[in-house]
Amino acid sequence: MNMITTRDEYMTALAMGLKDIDHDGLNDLLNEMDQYFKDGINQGKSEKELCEALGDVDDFIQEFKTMVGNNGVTNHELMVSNDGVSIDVDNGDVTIKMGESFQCNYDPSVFDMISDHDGNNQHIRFESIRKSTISITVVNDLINFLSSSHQIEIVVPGSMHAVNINTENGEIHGDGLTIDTMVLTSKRGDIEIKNSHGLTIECTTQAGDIELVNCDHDDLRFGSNMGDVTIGFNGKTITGQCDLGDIEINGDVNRIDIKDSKGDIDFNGWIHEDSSMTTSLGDIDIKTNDIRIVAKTSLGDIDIDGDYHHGYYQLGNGSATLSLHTSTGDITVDTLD
Amino acid sequence: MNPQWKKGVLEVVVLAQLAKKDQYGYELSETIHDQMDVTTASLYVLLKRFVNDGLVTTYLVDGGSGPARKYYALTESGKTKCHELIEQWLAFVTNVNTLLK
Repeated sequence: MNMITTRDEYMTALAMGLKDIDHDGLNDLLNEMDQYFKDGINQGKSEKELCEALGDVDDFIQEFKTMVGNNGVTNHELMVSNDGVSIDVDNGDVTIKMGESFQCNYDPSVFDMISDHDGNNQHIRFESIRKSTISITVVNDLINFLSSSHQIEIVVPGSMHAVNINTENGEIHGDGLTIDTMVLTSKRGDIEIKNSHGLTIECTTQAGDIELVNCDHDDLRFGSNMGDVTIGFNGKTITGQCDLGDIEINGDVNRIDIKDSKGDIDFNGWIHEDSSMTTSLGDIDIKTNDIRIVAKTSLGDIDIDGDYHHGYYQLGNGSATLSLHTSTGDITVDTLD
Repeated sequence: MNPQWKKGVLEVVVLAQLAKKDQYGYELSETIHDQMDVTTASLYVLLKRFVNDGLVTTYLVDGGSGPARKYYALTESGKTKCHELIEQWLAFVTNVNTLLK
């Protein structure tokens, strides 16, 4: 029997005895024991009484080792059962991939995951991230992801209904996703999504670029203050706004409504309903099918197949109208073969 | 009481306590220590195992000036397990009582 009677001795003996188990599992246990002693002392117990209640420290060490298994690594696994999940991370790039898993797994040697409840929602917070890349697998109807600078890799299942990712400096990458609703927001990082399908995708950045490649959604909404927007997209609608960046769109869309302030607009593809493209200072370059095009510019030129016009020009006989406006930029229109 | 009996019963007791309300470690240790002569270490180890097995989850509540306090709560599978163990225990006790009479 190891007759330890003080908090410090007990904690030291415990830490020594369990030094071979994983770092986080040990830290977690020591924090818990520290809290136990504080609570007990606040309740008027002596350190000796608290040590006695815990029992022989060697038994504690043995029981704990048996519990975590011979390799000494605890197998942390968090199952999130509520339909609303919010994940907050201090820092990082985010990569989203499709997976099959139905659990939220994480590697405790990489970071601490702390969860708490708020009404029906479970909030998961990652702390003390020790590697530049972490990997999380989640299944749920809704993920809210808040991040500001480490690299986060999320593996989502095919049944994912909604993903909401918010980063400060980090980039957001996604490939091969099928998600009903994606809301991606980054202050300074780029957003790059490839081969995605779904109902709605919304990409917003202040300083980052937005690049969508081979994306197929009903509706796309985008916004960028300083970044460029490059879109390869098939779907019903594209709505978006830029300030300084250029907008380049390739695709087949029913309707497009986009505005830019200082950037250029470049479109190549099919449009089937009334649409508009407006920029104040930039040029507009269009290559599209036979729809009625109304082109207006205050100071720039309108170039239709080498014929130059000024101010206002209308061409095409299609049932839908594409309105192009720029104040000082040039407008170039070509017909698709 | 036979220590092996106590350890076996501790599982159902801890789950039943958490079914009543979410509790932090010390709170739970006081309740259980008052009624059952088991070491508090066994309780903490059991809680860890429950968390690893997905029966119990933890969350932090801001402790004001001090560090955040960790609370233990039953998950859905923990609730199911709790019901199962209570039923098994009650049936076991009834049978043993019958045999002892």
